Amino acid sequence: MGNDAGSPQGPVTCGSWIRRPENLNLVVLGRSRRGNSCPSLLEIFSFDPKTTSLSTCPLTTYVLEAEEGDPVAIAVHPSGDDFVCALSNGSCKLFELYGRETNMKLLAKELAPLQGIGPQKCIAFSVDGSKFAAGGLDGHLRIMEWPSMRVILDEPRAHKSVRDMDFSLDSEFLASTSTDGSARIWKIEDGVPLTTLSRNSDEKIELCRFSMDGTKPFLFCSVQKGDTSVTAVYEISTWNKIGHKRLIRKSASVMSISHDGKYLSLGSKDGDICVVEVKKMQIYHYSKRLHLGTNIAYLEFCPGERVLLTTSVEWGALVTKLTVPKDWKEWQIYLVLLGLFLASAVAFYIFFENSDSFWNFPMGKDQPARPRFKPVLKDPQSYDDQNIWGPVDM
Amino acid sequence: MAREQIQVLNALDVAKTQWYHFTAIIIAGMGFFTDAYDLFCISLVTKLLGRIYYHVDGAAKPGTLPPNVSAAVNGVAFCGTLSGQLFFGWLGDKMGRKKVYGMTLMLMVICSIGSGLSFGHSAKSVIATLCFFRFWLGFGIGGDYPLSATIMSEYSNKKTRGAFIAAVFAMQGFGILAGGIFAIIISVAFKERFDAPPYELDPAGSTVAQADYIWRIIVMVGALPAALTYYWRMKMPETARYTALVAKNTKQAAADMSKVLQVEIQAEPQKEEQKANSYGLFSKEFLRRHGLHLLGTASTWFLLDIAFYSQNLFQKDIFSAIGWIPPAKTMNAIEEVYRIARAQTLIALCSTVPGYWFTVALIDKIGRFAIQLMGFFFMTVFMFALAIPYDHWTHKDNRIGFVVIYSLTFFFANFGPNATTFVVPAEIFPARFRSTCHGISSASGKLGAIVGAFGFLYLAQNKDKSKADAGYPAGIGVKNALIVLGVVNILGFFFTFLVPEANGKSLEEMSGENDEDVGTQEESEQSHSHNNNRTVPYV
Repeated sequence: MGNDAGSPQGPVTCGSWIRRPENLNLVVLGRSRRGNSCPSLLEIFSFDPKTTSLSTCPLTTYVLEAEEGDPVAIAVHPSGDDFVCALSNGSCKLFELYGRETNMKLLAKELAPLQGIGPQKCIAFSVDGSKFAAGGLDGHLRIMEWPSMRVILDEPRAHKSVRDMDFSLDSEFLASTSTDGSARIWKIEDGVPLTTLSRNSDEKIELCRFSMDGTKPFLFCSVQKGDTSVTAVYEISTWNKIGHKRLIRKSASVMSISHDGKYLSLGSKDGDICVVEVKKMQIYHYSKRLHLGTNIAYLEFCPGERVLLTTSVEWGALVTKLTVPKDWKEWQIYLVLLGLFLASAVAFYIFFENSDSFWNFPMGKDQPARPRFKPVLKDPQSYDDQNIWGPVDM
Repeated sequence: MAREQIQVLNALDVAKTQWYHFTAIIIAGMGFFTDAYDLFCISLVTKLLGRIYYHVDGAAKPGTLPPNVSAAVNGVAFCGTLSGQLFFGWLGDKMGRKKVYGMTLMLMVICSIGSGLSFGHSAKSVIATLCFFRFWLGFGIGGDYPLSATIMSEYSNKKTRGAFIAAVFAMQGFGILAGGIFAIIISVAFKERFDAPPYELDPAGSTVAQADYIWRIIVMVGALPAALTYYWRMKMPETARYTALVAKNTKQAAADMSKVLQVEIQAEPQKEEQKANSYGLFSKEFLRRHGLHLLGTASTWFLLDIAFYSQNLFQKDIFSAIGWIPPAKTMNAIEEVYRIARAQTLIALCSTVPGYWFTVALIDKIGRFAIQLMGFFFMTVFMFALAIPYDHWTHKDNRIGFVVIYSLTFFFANFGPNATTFVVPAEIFPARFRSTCHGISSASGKLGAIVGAFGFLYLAQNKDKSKADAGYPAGIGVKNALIVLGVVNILGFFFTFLVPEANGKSLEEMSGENDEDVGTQEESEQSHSHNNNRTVPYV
C-alpha cells in the first residue's frame, strides 16, 4: 500500500504499533521526504484484525517542517497516549494523540533535554513506561525518567555507535549493542554499567531483546559469526551464555519479541522474516522475501494479535498474519468449565434420582423440606402477636 | 495481635518493595481468608440442617444428619478442592495467572450463592443441591489455593521468606474467625426476633420456620470476600518481574533453554554439573537424594490435616461430649447455632489466630524444623492429656480445664505444623521438581483432610449404639478418638525428622543443586544417619 502509484509518497523509514483502550491497535508510520513535492510525514492508521490490514487513509497526518528533517525512529509510550520521534536533524519530538479514532489529532511538543543531541539510532521506553532511553549514532547513551526527564545516565562514550538496545521486563537493566560488535548491560536504578557480554573474537553482537516471559530470565542476541547469523541466549542472573541456534538464514537486521513473551521474531537484510517459539526455539513461521531483496528496517509484534508489522524503504509497511498455533481464548476455557459443571450436574441428578437409601431420611422419600409446625392458633407466641393489633385500652 | 503485626511489618521493612509486600499480603491473604471461611462455615450449620431436614416426630433427640450425609456435606468440598487444584494448575500453565484468578473467584462467588439458594420442595433435593454446589465451591477453592501461593512467591525474599509466606497463610485463621463471628451475629439477631422453646418442651416449635434462612445466609456470605478478592486482584498491575529470579528458578529455566539450543563447549566442571542435575523425577538418583524429604513433607502434611480438619469440623461434637455445649434437647435450633459458633469462635480467637502469628514472628528466628517438631510434640501431649483422663474432664467442674488444653492443641497446630508444612515443601526441593513436589505434598494434605472429615465422624460416636446420634453405628467414643488423633500426631512428630531445616539458606543451598562432590554427599548421608540414631533413645 505504501507505493500507491496514484499519489507518490516518501519511503517509510520507521513505524510502531500503538495500543489503545478497548483492544484497539493503531499504527504510526514515519515517511521521509522525497524531492520537493512530498514532505516528511507522520501518519496514524487504524488496524483491522479481521482483514489483517491497515486503513487505506490515515486517521491523521502530521507534516514535518523542512528544517526538522526526516523521522528516524519512533518509540511509543506503553500508555498509548504519546510517542517520541527521533528526527534526522538531531532532535527528538514528543507527539500526543488526542481525540477518538474518528477525530484524531497529533499535537507536537518539544523535549528540551532532547534538543540538538545528534541523530539517535534507537529510542525506547521501559516496559512500565517510567524510563526513556536514547542511543545515538555517535555512541552517546542517555537514560531518563519519564515524564520528568530527570537524567539517570548520560554516557557520551558508551559505544562506538549504538546499534540496538532494549529494556528488561522489570526495568532493572538496559542492554545496548554497538556497531563494533560489543554489547553492554547497564543497571538503570544506579545509572552505571554492569557488565559486558562475553563473546568470541569472531562474533559481533548486533541485536538484543530481553525476554518478556517472567519465567524465562534471558536476553536474546543476534550474533554475526563470519557470514552466519545465529541467535544467542544469555542468562540475566549471571550474564553467561546458555547457547545459540541458527534461526534465520540471512543476516538479521531487526529483532522483536511478542508482548506475552511466547514468540521471537527476526527480520533479515534480504527481506525474510521468521517467527520462533521461545520455549522450544523452533521456527513456527517463515516468510521468504516478504520485502523482496530489501533490508527490513523495522519489525514488531502486534500487542494483542499474532500479527507482525514490518517496514522497509522499498516496500513500505506490511502487516503479516502469522501461521502459529492459536492461543486458548478465554471464552473457550469458560466453555470447558461450563461443560464440566453441566456434566457434573447431570451426574448429580442421576445420583439424586437413584439414591433414596443414601440420604436416609427418616420419613422416607417424601420428607418435607421444612418440619411440620403446630397450627398457628395454638401457639401462645402467635396469640401475643395478634394482640398487638387488637383494641388498645383508651 | 497488633504487636505481632508491627513485627511483621518490621520484617517486611527489610525488603525494598515494602508497599508491594504489604498489598501482596492482603491480596494473597484474602484468597486464604475466603478459602477458610467457605470450607469451615459449613461446620457451624450442620446441626441446624439436621434439625430442619431430618426431624423425626416423637424422637427424644432433635434430628441429626445421618453419618453418610453428614460426611458428604462436610467433605464434598475437599473432593472438589483436589479436582480444582489439578484442573486450574493445568489451566494456569496454558493461560497465565491473571485470567485464572478471575475464573476461580467467579466460581467461588457463584457457588457460594448457589449453596445458599439450594432449592427444591423436598429435603432430599435441598441437601443434594447443597452437596453439588459445595463440590464446585471446593473446585474453585482448589484453584485459588495454589494461585494465592504463587502471588506470595513473587514478592518474598530470602531473609523474610518464611514470615512472609506464613503471614499470608495466617489469613486462614482470620477466615475461620470471621465465620464464627458472623454466625454469632446472625444467630443472636434471629434469636431476639424469633424466640422459641427448647426441643424437649416443644419439639416442632423449637425449630422456627425462619431458621432455614440462617444457614443459607451464613453460607452465601462466603461470596462477599471472594468478590472483594476478585476486585483487588483485577486491580493488581501485571507483575513485570522475572519470577524465575525471585523464586530462584533460574537454573531450571536455563536448563530448559539449553535443551533447545546448541550449547557452547564448556569447561569440565560445567559438564559435571549438568550431569549431576540431569536425573528425573522418581529416578533412583531422585529417590536417593530427595525421596526421604518428599516422604517427610507429604506424610507430615497428611497427618497434620487428619488431625487439623477433623478437629475443626467436629469440635462441636467434642464440646457437647464434655458438656460445654448443653445437650441438644435443652436448646432450640437457633440457640444451638449460637452456642456452637461462640465456642468455635473462642477457640479460633484464643488459639488458632495467635498460633499463626506466633509462627509469623518466629519462623525465621527459630526455624521451620524446630517449630514443626515442637508443634507436633505439644499437640501430642495435650491430646493425650485430654484423652487418657477423659472421664475426669466430663465432670462439669473440670470443663474449663478441658477447654484450655483443647485450645492449646489448636495453638500448637498453628504455631507448628499447619504453617510449616506449607512453607517447607516450597524450599527444600530442586527447582525443576519444586512445584511438583509441593503439589504432591499438598495433595497428601488434602487426602488427609478427606480422611479427617469422613473418618473422625464415625470414630467419635458413643460406644453404646443407643446413645449414638440417629443413624450412626457405634463408634469408639470421643476418648478413644482423641487417642487415635494423639497417635497421628506422634507419627507426625517422627516423620518430621525426615525434613531438613531450610531457615536462612537459599533454595539452591537447601536442595543441594550445587552439590558436585560425591564425598560431600556421603558426609551428608552420614550426618543424616547419625541424626536418625539420636532419635532412638527417645523411643
